[in-house]
Order: sequence, then C-alpha cells, then structure tokens
Amino acid sequence: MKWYFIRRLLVSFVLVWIVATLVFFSLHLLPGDPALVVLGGAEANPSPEAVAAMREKLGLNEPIFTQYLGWVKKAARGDLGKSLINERPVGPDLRLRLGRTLQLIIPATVLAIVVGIPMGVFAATHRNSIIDPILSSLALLGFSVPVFVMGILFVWFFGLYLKVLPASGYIPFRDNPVGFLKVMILPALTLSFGMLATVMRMTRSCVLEQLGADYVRTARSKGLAFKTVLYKHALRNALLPISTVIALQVGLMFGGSVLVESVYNWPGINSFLIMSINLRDYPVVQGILLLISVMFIGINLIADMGYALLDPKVRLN
Amino acid sequence: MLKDRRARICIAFLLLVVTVSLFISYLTPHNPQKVSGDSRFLPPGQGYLLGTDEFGRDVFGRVFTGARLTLGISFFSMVLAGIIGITLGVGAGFYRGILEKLVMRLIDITLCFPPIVVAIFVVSFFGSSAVHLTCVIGLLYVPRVARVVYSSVLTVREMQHVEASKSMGASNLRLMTVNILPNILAPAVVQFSLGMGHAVLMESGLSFLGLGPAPPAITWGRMVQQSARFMDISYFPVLWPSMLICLTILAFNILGDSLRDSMDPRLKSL
Repeated sequence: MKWYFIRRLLVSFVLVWIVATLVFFSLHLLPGDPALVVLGGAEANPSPEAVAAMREKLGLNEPIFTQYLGWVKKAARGDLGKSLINERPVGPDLRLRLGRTLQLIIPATVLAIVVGIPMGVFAATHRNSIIDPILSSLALLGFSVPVFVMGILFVWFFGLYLKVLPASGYIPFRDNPVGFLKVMILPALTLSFGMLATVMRMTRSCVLEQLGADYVRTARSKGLAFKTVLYKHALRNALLPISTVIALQVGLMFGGSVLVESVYNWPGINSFLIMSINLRDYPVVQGILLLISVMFIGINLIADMGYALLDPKVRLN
Repeated sequence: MLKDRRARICIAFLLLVVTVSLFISYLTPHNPQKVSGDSRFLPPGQGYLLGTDEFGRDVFGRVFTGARLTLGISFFSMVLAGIIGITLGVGAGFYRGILEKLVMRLIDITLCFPPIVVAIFVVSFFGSSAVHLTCVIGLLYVPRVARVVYSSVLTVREMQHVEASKSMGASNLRLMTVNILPNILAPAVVQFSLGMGHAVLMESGLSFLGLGPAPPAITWGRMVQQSARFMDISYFPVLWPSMLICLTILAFNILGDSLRDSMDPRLKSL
C-alpha cells in the first residue's frame, strides 16, 4: 500500500519534470530565433538592437543548459519569471486567473455529479421504460454539441431572448455576490454539460454491470429490498470507475473552459493564455502551460490514490 | 452494421453533406465570398436558400464550402492518427519489451496536457494553416488510437492462427501485416469514426477561437464566431453552421457507437 503510493508519487514527479522540460524547450523548438519570434517574427522586421536586447532579456545568450537549469530551479520555487509586456511577476497573476477558472470548474463539477449520478442510476433501473432511451439520447447530445455552440445558444436564449441573465462579463464575488452568481450560472452550466453526459452514461453502464453480478442476486435472494441492494451494494461498487471518469473530466475541463471563457468573456486562466499567446508574452505562456499540466497530473494522482484507498484490488497489483 | 437503422441514417446524412459540399458551386447561383450591402441579414428564402450573413454573403454557399475544409482537415488528421497510431500500437503490442514501455510512456506524457491547450499553443506559434491544423489534431489523437490498437494486439497475438503462421516460418513483418492487422481493424474503424467527431469538434473549436485557417478560407467555427456578434439582428447565420457542426459530430458518434455494438454484441445489452 505504502509502496504503491510512493511509486505513484514518484511517477507524478517525473511526469511534472518531463512536462516542465517540454514547456521550457518549446520556445526553442520554434523555427528561427526565439527572440525574433517573440518580437513578432521576421515580417515585423524588428531592429537588430531590439532583437539583441530581447535575447539579453530572455537570457538567450547563455548556454542552453544553464538557461534550462536556471528556469527549472526558479519554477520549482514557484517563480515563473516576469511578463515581457508589463514586467509584472507571472505567479500572482496566474493565481488570480486560476481562481476565476476554478469558480467555473467547481460549480460545473458539482452540478455534473449531483445531477449526473442520480440520472444514471435512474436510467439503469428503468431500462424498459421510455425514460432510459430519452436520457441516453440526451447524453449523446451532450457529447456532440460543442461547448461554444451550447454557450452561444444560452447567450441567445437567456441573454438576448428572455433577457433574464447577463450574456457575458465577470463580477468579482467580493464586490457583488448576487451579480457574481448571475454571471456565473450560464458559463458553469455550459461547462458542465459534457461532463454531466459522461458521468450519466458511465453511472448507467456501471450500475447495470453491478446489478447483473452474482453478489446482487445473492443479496436479493436472501431477502434484501431492491433499494438497499441498489444503493448499499451496486452503486457503491459502481462509484469506483465513476470517480476515475470524474477526475479525468475535471482535468479535461481545464482545457475545455478555454471555449467557455471565450464565449462569455470570462477572465480566467485560458483567456489569459490566448491573450498572452497573441502578445507573444512568452514567460506567461510557459507559466500557464506548466500550471495547467501540473493541475492535470495532480488531479489524476489524487484520483489514482483515492482509487487505491477504496479498492484493495488496485493496490495489491 | 448496415442492418442498424441509426447507422444507415448517419451514413446517409454524412454522404449528403459531402456530396452537397463537393457540388456546391453548381447548387447556388451566388459566390460564397461576394459581399453585398443590399442583401444583409436576409432570412432564408428570397433567393437565398439559407439567408445571408452580416456582409450579405450567401450562407448556403458558405456553410457547404466550409464543410470541405472542416471535413477535409478532420478526415486527413484521422488518416494521419490512424497510420501512426496503428504502427505504434501494433509495434508495441507485437514486440513488447522496450518498444512497448517507450510507447506507453509516450502516451502517458501526451495525456498530461489537455489536447485543446496544446493545439492552441502549437497553432498560434507555428501558424494556423490547414496543414498545421491537420497535423496537430491528428498527432493529438495518436495516443488514443495507439492504446486501443495495442490492447487488441495483445489478445490477437496469442491466437492460434498467429502461432500457426509463426511455426510455418512467417517473418515478423508478415505476422504483423497478414495475421494481426486484419484482426485489429475493427476497433480501429470504431476509433476512426469517433475520432472524426472529435476532430470536427477540435477544428471548429480552434476556428471559433480565431486559430483556424485565416479568411478568406471558410470554416464552420469561424462562421459561428463572426456571426455571433450580430445574433440580436439575425440568428440564421449562426444557426446553420452550428447545426451542421452538431449534426456532423452526432452522426460520427452514433456511427461509432453502432459500429462498436455490431462488433461486440455483448455491449449491446448494457
């Protein structure tokens, strides 16, 4: 058990290190002189002095290995350098933006779990009624409608047609809690649809699988009520694979929210990424890529550990 | 497979979209790029089958001209993902050992980045031509194909017909191409169909963010993005491309599901 955790933790550290290395070298993988790329490429025709100054600023004149070591050392301490545009340290800005993205991801995840799992259980226990195919078709629709189409539909319907909710923008919670909730509802709802569909489908098939198992028949034949068997036995066993899917989906949301943030002008981490890419603000881009990947790895690590804690079969392997 | 009514409807729909997009220049009298101030925001009908957009351009022509690029990029990216993914998956599953470890770790690493974020990064720095988009979407899908192929190869390689060929002195290459490949094509085809849905999603998402092929190239994502600003005046220019994006992805997903069901009847009962 202990060894499983230690091994899994080590693997995650190695992954983080590989990701950091990739993120660092991504600047050098770009064709041409990175300083030139940052200044807008050969078409922008920057003066040789500007290129030389930029090389100095990015530390490109040092041997690449020294640069790499320096970057990794600083990044490990949480220092991601300064923005090229406004000279502000990258770290605090990232924290602020990440917080705003989490303000969408957390409600979306809660919604997907609270609605998705009961819907999945319901679909599984009502297989012969009309409701199961309806729920399954809705889930398929949830997979197939891109978030930005869903977002635009919501903006049109709630924002322009009914005029009940603001179509876009951001209000900090501290300034105006009600205003925050109003602007948060639509983006969070949009973000949660794909996950809701996945959680529902997964719950349905896992519960069905468990209900067909021998132990369920045993429990039923010794006289336990169907509800007891369903909730205390089948669902509990089904929750394991469901939790893995949830963790994976939360990780994917960090990417998926890029489109939601764009539709609703939500100033989160992903709109920061797009903005910084357009400004060629390289330290910020590197910082965001690293942060998103580390979150991704961290969530998967937590999911795996939780899985091992709950399921002895995993940790004994 | 064709016994499944859902699959037949999906195939018919996709063929219709492809056919219309190939012959679109004969189906509408309007040039999809022609800007006209007199015909802005026309509703469907009135000489324009699906109406016009904010520049008075023919939405019917544009939406099906856009289909060529969106579907073309998706198709070739999946061909790319298929070729590389099958090669890696078969190689890893057949030779095992170091190659297997290497491929599996490579998959683990690619799965550490959310795909859309990587795509945004690559496209914005290397340029957003159709070729770049195809490569990025394709390469990002390689891990999924490789993983599915790999796990099928692990079962197929233990089958008796493989052993029989081996004992008759077949070379490794022959074993892989003649004995194993035909047996793993079924899951690969399922992945191809689901992957097409994924690719259309990625492509339209990237073009929606303004990171697709630059205008005058027409893509569904960009049409949605540009006309969304005028939604309060006319929602038709947003509606048609959005609808086609959704229906196309839906068709590929249903097709993939139905292919999977027909190949593995055990899953059907679930």
